[in-house]
Amino acid sequence: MTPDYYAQLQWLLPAPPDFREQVQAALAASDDGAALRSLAQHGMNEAQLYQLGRAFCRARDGGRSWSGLWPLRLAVLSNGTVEHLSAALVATALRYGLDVRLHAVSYEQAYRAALGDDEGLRAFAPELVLLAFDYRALELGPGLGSAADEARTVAGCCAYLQAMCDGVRRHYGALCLVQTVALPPGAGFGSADRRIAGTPLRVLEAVNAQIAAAADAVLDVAALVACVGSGWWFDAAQYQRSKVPFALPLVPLYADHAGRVLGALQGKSRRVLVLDLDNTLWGGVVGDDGVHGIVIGNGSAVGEAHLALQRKALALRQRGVLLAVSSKNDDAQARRPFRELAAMLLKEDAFVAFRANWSDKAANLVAMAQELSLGLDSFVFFDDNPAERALVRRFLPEVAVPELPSDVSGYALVLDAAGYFESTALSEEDLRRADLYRNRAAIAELAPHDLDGYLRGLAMRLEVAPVQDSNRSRVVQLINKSNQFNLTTRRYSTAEVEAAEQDADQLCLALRLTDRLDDHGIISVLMCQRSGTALAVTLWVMSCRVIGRGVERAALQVLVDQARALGCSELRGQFLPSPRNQMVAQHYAKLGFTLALQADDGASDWVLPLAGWQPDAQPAIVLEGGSPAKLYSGADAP
Amino acid sequence: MTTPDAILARLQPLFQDILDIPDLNLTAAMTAADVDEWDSLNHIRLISAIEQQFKVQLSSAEVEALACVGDMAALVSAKLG
Repeated sequence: MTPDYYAQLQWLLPAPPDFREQVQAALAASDDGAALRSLAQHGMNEAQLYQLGRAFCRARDGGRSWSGLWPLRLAVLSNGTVEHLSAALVATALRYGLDVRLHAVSYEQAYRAALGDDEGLRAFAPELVLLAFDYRALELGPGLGSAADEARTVAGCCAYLQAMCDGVRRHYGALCLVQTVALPPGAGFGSADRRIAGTPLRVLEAVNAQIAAAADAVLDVAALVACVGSGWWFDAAQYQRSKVPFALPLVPLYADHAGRVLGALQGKSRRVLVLDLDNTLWGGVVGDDGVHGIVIGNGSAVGEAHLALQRKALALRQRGVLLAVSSKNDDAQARRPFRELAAMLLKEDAFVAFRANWSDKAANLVAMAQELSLGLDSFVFFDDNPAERALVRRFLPEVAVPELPSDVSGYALVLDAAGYFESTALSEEDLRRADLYRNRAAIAELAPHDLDGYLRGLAMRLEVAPVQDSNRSRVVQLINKSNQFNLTTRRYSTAEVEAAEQDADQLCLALRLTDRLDDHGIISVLMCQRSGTALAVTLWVMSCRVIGRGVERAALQVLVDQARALGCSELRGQFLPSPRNQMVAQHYAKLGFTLALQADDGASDWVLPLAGWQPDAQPAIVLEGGSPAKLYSGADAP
Repeated sequence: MTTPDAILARLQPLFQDILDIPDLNLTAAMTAADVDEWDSLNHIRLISAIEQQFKVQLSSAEVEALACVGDMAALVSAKLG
């Protein structure tokens, strides 16, 4: 891909010629913000971002608000000029469903502001602060030649950035988003720099690694610059004229990368990649060319290009992105390459939905969204056919639909360039998410007296769903790997879970937690057995990552609702001790259950009568999901 | 058409876009002092947009020597030769 591909965001549809009129039309449209978000899906240049950003801010200052846009108060602190980014960031944030209020602080004042010395910033009360500092803020020398000097230089740079991170959290109670520092051209001497201690190249790599680990979230500008080239990024003339930190034509790209991270922090990342088959996952049309006539695999450039796309899709799947197929084909024909061609990297079991039929693709996407219980704004639709793309854009504007390059060799790169799956929300193994969570826990500790307020501010939602195809693998994983928050340490195979789902007297529930910062995915599983007028909890596991948020109390509410819907008069709980679950020994006592039986081996039985049981007056977690009766899959549900 | 007058005509929509003033009527004698939105930062945005649109490079010395819109049109015209 050429640098222009990235700089002009060519995976997006170009902005319409009557852009200015469309801005006015979108602002005049309904109050949900859908028209604005839809317009912002276009690839806007710097001037267009400026126009949209300013028009949006004017309308907002005039009293308009948009129910479908998520508000975010963002401060940007930079050692260079940053005011010109404001409108671009606000406009780009619309692409990610965010209504950003932005406060910019430039030059020397930025450092002082981060350390608490800025009444204007305090009054603004940012929720998130982007530390947009570049190499010019850091003392990269001296220290050439010795490892000890290099370590001192790195420590000095990190201390400078860390002080700002700490200051932002302490003085403004905001999350800290730090951008990595790119190496400018001309900062090095030659190829030996990587071998010589203390060179700017080595110092910056060490600094980036450390600040990436210490910040609440990272905007990896160093990687972005590596992609488009530092020779273009750093425009000496523009910097010298007005302290603009990087070339103005790259403002749209920078803003889009920032927007992705802002979106990901608010749980707005996409989660599902829907792929076309013919001329997308393979070359040719399987219905016309036959299963052995299609082009896939090594041996031809076209076959390798389609294979590269399959490899990319598999890599996304490993990061937690769901894959699906939407193809205009006979189902049996469409499945044959997956079953019969060894060259196919993707197999049928890689997909959570497989829709090969002759219905229109918008209808198929709607059906998939219902099947997976996900919003259409979680979907990316990847199809080589411009007509299909246009149809989906027209009828389902929430779906992200990338333009594809004319040459199939670029297909695999589109998904990286577009960044739809930034900080993939469904990837339970994603280490960066774990770091993010740990940092948030640290923030909560900073304000121990207002933990309730902090939890309320997270706007947590607990989504209750029956265990089913779409969530079963995660449920089985959670059942079998949870050791600490696990009341009974009963392990189940996939087949056993399926059997329990079918059992009319058993309930199997998966709880998904989301908040304004993140989608934590399925974090708790409940299994219950009905016997007479009692509903007994046979399995209760929860991910340790969400301990301390009151999820247990919300889960109890779920259980009470279920039991009452089934006509039960009491809940029963059981604790079976294991070498690792002592943390939940008093779980039922804390929830108000009464001890019914204490066995010699440490096991205990608990009971909670439902008559007169009252929910929390002001729960910090909002429950979502169908009515209890609807969740209950048993044959004789009331 | 690369005469200064022709360049001036092409600069008008560019100025309208960059300064976000749809009805701006650009004249050769116009200077930054005549337009509120034409501040130092927008001046750099204008220069960058001109460089992109006309595919020319303007040196810092040339940029500093510009006094009015007519100078800009003449400079671009000379660059395009």
